Amino acid sequence: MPELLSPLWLLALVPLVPLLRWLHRFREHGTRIDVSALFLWRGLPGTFQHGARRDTPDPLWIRRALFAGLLLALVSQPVWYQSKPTLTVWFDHSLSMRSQEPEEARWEQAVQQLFAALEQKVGQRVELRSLNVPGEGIPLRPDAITAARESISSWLSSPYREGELPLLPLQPGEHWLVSDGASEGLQGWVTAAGITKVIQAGIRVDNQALTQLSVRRGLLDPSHADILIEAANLGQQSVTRRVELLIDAHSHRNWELSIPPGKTVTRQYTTRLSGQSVLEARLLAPANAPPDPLPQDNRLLLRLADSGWQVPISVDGICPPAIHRVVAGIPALDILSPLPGSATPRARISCSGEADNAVVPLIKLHQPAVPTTLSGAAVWQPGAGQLRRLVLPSAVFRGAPGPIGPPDEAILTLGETTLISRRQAPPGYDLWFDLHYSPLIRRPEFPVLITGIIESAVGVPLLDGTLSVQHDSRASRITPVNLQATSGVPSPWRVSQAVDLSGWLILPAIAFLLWELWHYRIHRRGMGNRTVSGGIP
Amino acid sequence: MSEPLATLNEADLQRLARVAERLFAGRPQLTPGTQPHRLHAGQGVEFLDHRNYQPGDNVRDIDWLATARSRRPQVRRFRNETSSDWYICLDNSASMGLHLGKWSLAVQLAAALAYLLIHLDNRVSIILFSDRVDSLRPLGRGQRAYAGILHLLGSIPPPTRGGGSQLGVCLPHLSRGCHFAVISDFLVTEGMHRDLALLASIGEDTQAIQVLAPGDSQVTAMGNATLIDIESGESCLIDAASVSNRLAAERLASRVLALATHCKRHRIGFSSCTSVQHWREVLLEHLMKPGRTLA
Repeated sequence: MPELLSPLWLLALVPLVPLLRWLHRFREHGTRIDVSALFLWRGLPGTFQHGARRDTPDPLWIRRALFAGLLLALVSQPVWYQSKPTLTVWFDHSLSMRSQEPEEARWEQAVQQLFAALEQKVGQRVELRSLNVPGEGIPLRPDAITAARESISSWLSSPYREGELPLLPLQPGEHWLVSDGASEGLQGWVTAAGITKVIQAGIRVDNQALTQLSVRRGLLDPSHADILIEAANLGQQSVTRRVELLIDAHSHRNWELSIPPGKTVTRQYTTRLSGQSVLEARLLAPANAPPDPLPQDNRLLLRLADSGWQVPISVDGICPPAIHRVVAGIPALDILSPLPGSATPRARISCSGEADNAVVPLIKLHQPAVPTTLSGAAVWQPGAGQLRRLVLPSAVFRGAPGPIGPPDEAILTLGETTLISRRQAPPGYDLWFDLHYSPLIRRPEFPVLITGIIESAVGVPLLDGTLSVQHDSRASRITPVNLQATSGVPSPWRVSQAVDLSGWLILPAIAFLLWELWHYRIHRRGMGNRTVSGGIP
Repeated sequence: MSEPLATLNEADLQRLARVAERLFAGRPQLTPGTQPHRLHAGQGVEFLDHRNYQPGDNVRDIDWLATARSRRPQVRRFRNETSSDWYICLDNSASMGLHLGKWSLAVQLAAALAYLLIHLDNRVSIILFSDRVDSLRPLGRGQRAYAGILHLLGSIPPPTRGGGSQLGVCLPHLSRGCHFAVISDFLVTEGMHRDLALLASIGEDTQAIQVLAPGDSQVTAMGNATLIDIESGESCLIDAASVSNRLAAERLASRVLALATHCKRHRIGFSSCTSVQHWREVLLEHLMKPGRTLA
């Protein structure tokens, strides 16, 4: 089927054809000639009553209109596609697409607009793909709006996660985008991807969101927690909102916040929390205010038990006192009783020499039989991770010289002696140095070293760790931004499949031009015989 | 003075006047003298002839004996012992100005005729008419009257469009028993036949000179063309490739012939000329036709 790559040129026909018609308004009557006595010609062969030939079209006007139409068709770049491309519809189901518009949800408006546009694509293979989750897509029939709605609804029902935009270049074919344009940087992707049509939905611009709920232990009193709540106004008008803090489903505190447009407001609160507490922050609109378009970002939930606020740990065997002191000095650690029936620890510190097949991380302390003071500085190995930031003093380790056992991975060595190694099964660390050696345990680096090893084993920051749950304020921005499709730039597939039809139009255009020049020549010759008065040869 | 009158040569006019004097010198002269006395009816005491009674004639002029003999009312005519009064009616319609040379020749003819008539001691008035009387110069004699006539002829060109040619509009300004000269193209549907007959009936003598132009019956165009009557504004669509100028010229010739016949029937002196002719040639031809009298 022929298509026009630049169809806007055809709009020029709208004023051009009436203009030609107007310029030739007298052509159907031919030349106007004044005569002294009209009755001398009335009734003669070749004469007609006035208006008797109005139905006869003026061939000159028709020729010129056709010529102009052909030229405009030429510049409109007519092409014939040898096969129909696959139409890929990229559906943006970011958080802003879930906004509630006055009539329906923003994504539902987009679906309606999409299927209205797909009515022109009957017979073409259409695939609906997710813009935010690469790889997710379903084949789409332009008449199966219900199935498409269900698929999109299932995408939206899953928790929102901001993903990367699809990698470029896209697969060959035609590509559309269904979005509200609220995401940042989307226009650049649209241009680079060669999106030929953008279907946009949504008009609401005002949204307020809770962007952060975080908690940390008090620096002066570790038994208390400092709670921080942050709310943002992403709309264009100043609003007043109420923020409510719930602890374990009970309302604990609320604040009345006046938030200027484009600004964030924070509130801090200190209270005592247990390791199993559940913190919830809610952003509430006044009763007389319009409903929030995006309720999903008005609530933040933080479960301390899941976030490592209190890490249960067990200490087995007869461990050096220095280890007990260090473990007891970390507020985030909950030292479990060694009695049977206690809770499952997240890590174990074992000082016994027994083999252990526990599945939880294990920190095994090996007491060297004949410890020897090791001179020189200990060196962290590449697998040490964050522990490498700790600078250890020289001549503070005492251990058994030479390599010990078959360690999986040595992370701290001194010469050829392994001091700390990482184990794969069970996961954890082996400490091969003497933990009774006073030059070491009296060093301020010692508790930091032990704490770092425990942190690495349990995967939770134990010293001054901040637990936080956040909403990205960019994701909560729902203001639609107009996106421009790249209709003027044909995709590589279209270029490869298009057969240029301009050659077929240039031939009749030249023929019309030659015809016109021929008649103009005859007309000039005829005009040369005319006298001033217009009727005398 | 306008362009047509600028070409009116005084020497030509005097030469034409001498020709006219010789031309009319051969006619019977009732009174010897340097100025010829033309034989024509008018106010006088000496009997000239009879003619049929026409409405408007004085009943006291009816010759009852002649009426009894001819069984028709006859009135006596007397020789006019004074000079005559001439009214020159010049068609000032748009059709006279359409084609180059037509209006010029008409103006030159009117001026030359006025010159001759004044030269022969007649009183001359000139009326420019279209569908109304556009301008009028009352009867006058001598150089002053001639100068006034020239000024009038040079100051009023025909309109470019519209109007018409109705000779009848001059009638209220004419006097019964006078002489009339009509200069026009007579290109109206009815050919002014009725008005000419009316003039002939109320006037002592009526002359008609038809001025035409070649373009009156010829058009040249490519493809379709619209002919527009310059006076009435009526239009007609033609196919220039198939329309025949020859047929239009034949139609015009037949109308000229019909007009000539009509004038002859009403004893109106008639001449037809085209704009390519010289005014002197046209006037001489008209004067030399049998039966012409200028006084």
